[in-house]
This record gives sequence, structure tokens and C-alpha cells, in this order.
Amino acid sequence: MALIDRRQRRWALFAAMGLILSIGFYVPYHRAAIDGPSGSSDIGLGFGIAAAALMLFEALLNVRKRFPTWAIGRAETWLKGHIWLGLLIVPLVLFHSGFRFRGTLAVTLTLVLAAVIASGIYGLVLQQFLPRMMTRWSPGETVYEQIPHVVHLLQLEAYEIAAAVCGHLPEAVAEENALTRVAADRKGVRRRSVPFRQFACVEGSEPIRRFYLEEVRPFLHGDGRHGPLAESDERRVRMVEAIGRTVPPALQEAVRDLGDVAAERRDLAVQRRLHHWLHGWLFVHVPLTAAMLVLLAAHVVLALRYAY
Amino acid sequence: MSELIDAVIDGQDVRVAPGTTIFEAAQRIGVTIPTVCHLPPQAPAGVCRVCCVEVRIGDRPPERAMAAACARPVEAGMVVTTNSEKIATARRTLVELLLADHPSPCARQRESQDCELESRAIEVGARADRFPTSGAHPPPIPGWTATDDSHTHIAVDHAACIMCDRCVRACNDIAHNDVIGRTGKGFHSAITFDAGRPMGDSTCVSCGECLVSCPTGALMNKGFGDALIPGQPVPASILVGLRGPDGGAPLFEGIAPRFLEKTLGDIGRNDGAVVQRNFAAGEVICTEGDFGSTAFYVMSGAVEVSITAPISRVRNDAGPFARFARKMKSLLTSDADADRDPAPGLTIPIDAPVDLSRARPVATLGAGELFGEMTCLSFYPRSATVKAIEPTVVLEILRPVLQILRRSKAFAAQVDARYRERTLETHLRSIPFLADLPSDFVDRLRERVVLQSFEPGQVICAQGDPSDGFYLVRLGFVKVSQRFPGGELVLNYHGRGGFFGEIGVMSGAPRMATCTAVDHVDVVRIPADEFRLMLDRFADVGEAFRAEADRRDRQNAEHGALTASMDLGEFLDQGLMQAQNLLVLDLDRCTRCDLCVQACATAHDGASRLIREGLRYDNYLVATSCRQCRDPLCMLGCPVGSIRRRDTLEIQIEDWCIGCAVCAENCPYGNITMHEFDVTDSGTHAGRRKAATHVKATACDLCKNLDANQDPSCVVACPHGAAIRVENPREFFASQKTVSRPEHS
Repeated sequence: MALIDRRQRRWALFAAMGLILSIGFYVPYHRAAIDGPSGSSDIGLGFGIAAAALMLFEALLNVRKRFPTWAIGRAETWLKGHIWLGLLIVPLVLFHSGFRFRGTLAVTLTLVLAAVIASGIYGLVLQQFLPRMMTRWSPGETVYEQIPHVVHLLQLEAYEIAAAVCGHLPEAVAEENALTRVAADRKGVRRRSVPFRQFACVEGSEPIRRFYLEEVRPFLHGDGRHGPLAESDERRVRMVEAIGRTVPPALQEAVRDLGDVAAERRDLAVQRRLHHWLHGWLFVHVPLTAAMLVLLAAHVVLALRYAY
Repeated sequence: MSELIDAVIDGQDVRVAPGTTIFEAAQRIGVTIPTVCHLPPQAPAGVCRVCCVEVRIGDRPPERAMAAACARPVEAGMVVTTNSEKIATARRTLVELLLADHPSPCARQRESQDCELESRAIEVGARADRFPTSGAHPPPIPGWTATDDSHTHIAVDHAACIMCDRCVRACNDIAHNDVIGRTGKGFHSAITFDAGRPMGDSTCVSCGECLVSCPTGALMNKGFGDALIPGQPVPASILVGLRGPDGGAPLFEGIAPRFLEKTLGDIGRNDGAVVQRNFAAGEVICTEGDFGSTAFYVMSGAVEVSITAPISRVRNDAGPFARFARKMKSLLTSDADADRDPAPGLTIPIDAPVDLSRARPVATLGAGELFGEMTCLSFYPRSATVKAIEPTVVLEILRPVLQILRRSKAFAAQVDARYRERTLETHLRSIPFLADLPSDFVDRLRERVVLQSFEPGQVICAQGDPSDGFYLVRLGFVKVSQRFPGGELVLNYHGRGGFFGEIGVMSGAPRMATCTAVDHVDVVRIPADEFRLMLDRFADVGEAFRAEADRRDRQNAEHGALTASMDLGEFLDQGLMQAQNLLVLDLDRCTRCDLCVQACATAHDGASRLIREGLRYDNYLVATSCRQCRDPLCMLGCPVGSIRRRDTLEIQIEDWCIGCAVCAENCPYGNITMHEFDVTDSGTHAGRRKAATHVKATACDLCKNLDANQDPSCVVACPHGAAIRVENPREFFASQKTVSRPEHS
């Protein structure tokens, strides 16, 4: 199920009716206008006012989000209105201008509006698919803000797995120090540190040591997007299995565990990347909307100042 | 007076009254006859025969069989030999036979080297290994176990029992409690409690007579190791004679002094189980939210009991705009059920024989009052802060001693009398329906109510039982559950101040639910006749109770119907079956914008009550947020009753939460969080105010405090329709196309 589904039907119909109604006004008006349609004519002005009102309504979605406890309707309803009434702005603006754009301000406003709508459609398309991709591709996803913390925990977990069979790893002293845990009581009053338990090196663990220090650790400390462990599941599993074959059977579980930790890190990298795609467009859409509102205000002031 | 009888014991003449036993006569002239089963002043039983002696009467030849000195009366012309090679051999053999059915060394011998049987064995030169050990006892009755650890103070080891009968006589003849008896025959025989119950479940009053009578390690005093408390220890010799502040009966009347001695340190490990502590005016005795394991008995002086955490911040206000919008809406609609949640009582229940007023949560306790029982018995956090308001002497008591006290008939009578006299009225009035009950009727109830105590797990009344009364919870927690075709549904938990049983009494029908003590529970039972009389005599009380009964009836039926439609086996592992309102996020629609979390935080003073992580079912995420469980384990143990169920069964945490975190620990799903709130605290110095942080528990309240008719903020705020509230998880997930095995995200 995606964002644009049957639940949008009412709003789509409502927008379509709005479009038909505005065409119904515009066609006779276009035919009757001797000098062609103009934004300053009564009907043209009506289209302009309707478009401006819808632009303001569009901006109010942000206000709705900031006051979630206000009993002014569900955000879902507001978003549906935002999408479909936003699309309706396009014909209204075109009818307002009579398909002619004159003057720097009007052209700029129209271009910004087009950019706003295009970025909105782009975001909508992304939201249509990316959540599903994130669910499938990143089963180990966490709260976005928690990713650095979870990555840190994965680094420690990988060290614990490796150190349990390879013994002390001086190359990873940072992890060992971090593993000196701090335990707190319920009210956080008393704290005590627990030294990391040292293990002896198990015979035949050298491949694991190399795998950890040369592949897993750099991968966990990197962005999770580069290196053989960032490859597809199939290739990564093949690699882990190949290393597993070089160690005694008793140590194969440690290799698998390291592979799982790397897989989780990869999931988080995928999540981060998809998250940026999913929300990055807002860095265009929202500032452009703000610019559009400023330009709209200027357009209204100038129109009132010089047209009447 | 009968004539005295002349006899000879070991060559010494002795003159005794008729009926005197050989053992008593020998004692009189300083001859010691070893015994095992005999313990004056108990009547002799003559079961061990270790006191065997040779007897000859007059000129007759010596009797063929040896006599048991403890049981055989002295006869005229009797010549008794208590010490000979033949007797020594017989005694040695008898002790060796007893040892064959006794682990050597037994626990008592290992701990304190005073097992009488093993001491006797050393005296008579018996060897424990002469006869092969008899092995494990076969169970004399179904359900019998060789060791019984169910009692709070006494550990029972049947393997060490030699069937000497001393405990049976102590319980029945000395203490007149009639709890211990014998069962089985021959090698299958054993002692039992109430004819086959574990000792802890029996009617044993913990007087300790059996324990001090037992010659072996069969009945052992349980130690409580390092759990000692600072203060001036009160030795058993003083404690035995200690009387309440009114100078009435001794506090420990009816309890064997030697048992107290054993409990308090006779064997050197329990010193400090009762300590006397002196507090100057203003000194704090205990603080709300702290964990402890002791109860306090006020010997003299007075203490102030109060809740110092500010009463605020957990329930949230909708804000002026929403209030205005709701007001406008209410003018347009006439929804009578807009807020069906009645205000809870006007008092806050605490772990003391008083309730605190919500308006001013302060009360005073005086000499003779006991507080902190729930903390001591069930290890709940302290429910209130107690400080002395004048020079005060208290006894601080550890659990084993409190258990002894609670089982003591004399002390229980004293506490009950005080409860009837001082507390019953305020306790009754803490129920809003009974707030205006006339005093004369309260006086009538004072004499007629029954005060009952129940141990953890004990059924107070079972579904289908005749309805014999109305119950008011005085101490502990009661689980109310109902059997349905689909399984058992926990309807509620009642803590102090809660009540149950009114539906059955009013309708005359059998009990509709089973009420079980979750921990140590004290209840007040108003007999059915008295309760009906109250309803008849006071129309408004009757009306209120009938309305309440209708409401509970309706609510039970609704939830019963839901339970009947569900297979309780499924979802059990995940706890989803328990959920009656689950926040589920459709991950195919969710853009991870976190507006749901932000909305929750905005609605609740910046502290979100949901975390967008949890179990995953295919494309659905079960968020970490209160599920409003059908069996709300979180409600158990709240020392101030601030977590409760609303009428609509949602869990609600009230403002007077003291932040002890018991509910958060009890929640199996981690859905209750502790939040720090900044407050302005008046501090301890009058006139000075300072910023402080108080921790309080928070859980999803479905935003019912904002607008009872509106969906929760998380759902309202989700722009993509991804946040869904699910009331029947099984139905919901079954209706989805594919639901895969859950996994943690």
C-alpha cells in the first residue's frame, strides 16, 4: 500500500471537479474577452484570489504539523488537501494569467510556483516508493537519530566477537576501552565500571583476526557503503562463507556473527541513504514555498497598487 | 490425697505421688535418663524408647521387656535400673535405628551442633552407619514432598523427622492450634499440616512451639542472613514482655519465647531483626519511593506521613485553543458519554493505616500504629515520606518478625481493634459512594465487618461461589479474573481502597469473577446482609452502587465477548494477545518523519510516550507504546495507587505518582517510561524555593486527557495515515495479506 491509493479518491474527485468548474468559468470568459483574458479582469482576479488562497492553505500544512493537539482535523486529511488542491493551483494560475506571463515578478512567481509543485510531486513520488524499499532493504532499521549510537554499539559488538576468539586486539584499543561499561542504578545515582573481560587467543583464529581488522572494523568505522561487505546479500554471504571455511568448525559461528554485524551496518547505511532521499526534497520544497509566499505577497501588493 | 509410693531407682530410695513416671522420679533424685521423644511439659508418648529402663516389682523376677521411663508410672515396691550394659546396648541400638532414618549430620547439626538425636548418639556411643540408611521416604499422601519451604520462618525437612511426636504435641496440647498431625503408617508415616497442606498454606500461626520442640533438623528456623537493620537491637527477652502504648496485652503474646529467641539471635545470626530507633522532631524515618524491607511500629510519639512529590505533570491539559474548540463542540453535540471516567476517590491510598487527602496529602500517626507493611512483606517501595513531629520511638521490624506478628492472634486482635476504631471510617469514606454515609451506620459496621487476611495466591472468592459479602481492600493487591470459553481474562487489579463483590451481593447471584490475592492481602468484608441493608436504607448509596455494578457488568460483558472470539494461545509469546489498543505503524506508508513522536511529545509536556521501534510483523511495526493490556501487570505494586484503569480500560497514571518506577519495571513490554520533570520545589526550608527535578512514570493515555472523543495525537498527526490504533490485534493481523514471523527492529 502506498500513499496514493483509493483513500485519495475523494480528494482527487474534488480537485477534478474544481478543475472542471474553473474550466467552465474560464472558457466562456476566454471567448468573451476582447483583448484576451487578463489577471486584472474580474474573473481573472477571481482565479488569482482562489490560487493565492490555495497557496496559503498549502503553507498551513506546516502549521497543522506544529500544533498536533489542536482539534482541527487529521494531518492526513490536510496532506490530501495539500496534494490535490496544490495541483489545482496550476490551472488556476494559468487561468488567472490567461496563459500569458508578463513582468519579471509574475514570471519569477510562476517559475517558483512551478518549482514548488515539481519538487512536491517529486517528493510525493519518492514517498510512494521509498518507505516500502526501506522496509524491505533495511530490516534492521532504527530511529534515524539513533544510527550513530547503534553503529557505535555494532563496533563494540564486533570487537567482543573477535576478541572472544582472537584474544586482546591492540589495534582496537578504542573499542576495548569503550567496553568498560558503566552501569547505573535506577535513579542514576551510583555508577560503577566493569572492566572488559579478557579472552585467550584460540588456535586457528588468525583468519578471523584478519577478517575483523582488515574488513569488518574499517567497514564499521566507515560510512557502510564501500567495500566488499557493502555488496549485495549474496556476495557478502559468499565472502563470509569463504572465510568460514578457513577456520576450525568451532570458530565458524564467530565469522557468521561478524558477518551479521556487518549486515546490520549495511542496513543502517541503506536506511541513512534512503532517509536522505525521502526527506532531502523538503530542503528544496519548503524554502521555495517560503519564497513563493513572499513573491505572492509582493505580487498582490503591486497588483493592488498599480492595477486599481 | 493418695498415699505416696516408695520405689528404688539405681539403689536410691524415692517416694513419689501416684502417677509419677519413672523419668520424673529419677529426675527428682538427680538420676538422668536420656530421652529423645520426651519433652516436659508435654505428655509422654513413649515412641522412641530411648529412655528404656529395667524394672522389677517387689520380689517378682525382673520384667522381660524394658519399660519406657517417660511413660511408665512408678509402682509400689518398684526397683528400677537405669544404667546397665544391657540398657546401654539397647539404647545404642535404638538410637542407631533412629539414625538409620535420619540424615547424619542433619542441617541443624551442621549449623548449630545441637541436634538432640545426634548428641544422644554421641552420648550412647551409637554409630550412624551401623544400619543401612532407609533412603527416601515414600510419600504418605498424594502431593506430599520431602522438603517443604513454603513457610516464611520454618523450613520442614521430613527426611530428618524421626516421628518423635514432639511437634504434634506442642502444636495441639501446648499451643492448642491443632495444625500438625501424623499421616501414614510405619515407614510411610510423616507429620502433616492441616492434614496434608504445605506448612505455609496451612493455618499455622507461627507461634514457633513446634520449632522449639523439634529435637532434630526436621523443623528449622529460617535465617535471613545479612538483612539486618541499623539501630539498637531489641533482644528477645525484652521483646517478649513488650506491650503496646496502651499497656494492654504483650505484643508477642501467644508466641513461644524460645521461638522469638531463636528468631532474634539465639543462634547468633539474626541479631537486629527488631531494632529500636529514636527520632527527634523533624527527622525523616523513611522517604517515598525508596526501597526497603522493614515495617515500623510506633511505640511513642507521633509521625507525619506525607507525599512530597508535587502532584502534577502526568496528566496533560489540552491548552486554551483546544479547550475552546471542545467547548464549542460541546455546544453543538450532546454526547453524554463525553467523559465517562469518573474522578477517582478523593484520597490517595498509602502503606499505612490512613489514606491521604488529595487536596493536602498529609496525615498523622500516633503510638500503636504500624506502617510500611507492604514494603516489608512484598518489597514495594515506600509510598510516603514519614517524619517525626515530636520525639518518637519506633520499632523497625524485618519481615520474619512482622510475619510472626501478623500471625499472632493477640497482635492481630490489637491491630484490628485499632483499625475498626480509627481507620475503618476514613477507609469506607474513601469510596466516593460512601463519602456521605451517616456516622451511626459506620458505627454499626464497625462491629459487624469481618477483617480477613490472605496469603499470596490464595483465592478470596471464586467464580460461582455464593456471594457472601462486599470486600474492601485494606492492604495488598487483588486480581479479579473471569473464566471465558476462550480462556481467563484479568478484569482488574484492586489495590488499597479498591472494592469488589458488590455485583453478586446486589443481584443475589453467584460470584461472577474470581478474586485472588496477588500478594499479602488484608480485606474488610461487609457481610451481604449488612451491605444490602445499607443500600436499602440509603437510596443514593444504593443508586450509586447499582450504577457502578451496571457499568462493571457491561464492561465485563464487552471484554468477555472479545476474549471469547480470540484464541489465547496465539500471540501469547509476543504479548500482543494482551493488547487491547496497539499502536501499529504501516511501514509501507510511514515516511519516518517522526511526526507521531513529536505530536506525542507536544501533547505531553515535551515527554514522548511512544518510541518508533519495536516488533515487526511484515510491513507493520508495533511501536513501543502502552498497549492497554488486558492483564495490566503494571498496576501491581504501585505503592500509592496512582496507576489505574479508566472505565474504558485504558491505563491511566495519576498526578500523584511518586516516581518509584515499579510500574515501569513490571511492564513486560517496556512501555512505561520514567521522565524527569523540572519543578519548583519548596524544599525543606520554609520560604525558600528552588528548582528541582522529579521523576514520574508516564505511559500512553491515548490522549484521553486532551479530548476523550478524539483519536490519540500520534494518529491525528500522522500525515500519511500510517499510524493505526488496533483494538483486536489477532483480527487485524489475520486480515492482512501476509504476516511473517515477528522480528525486532
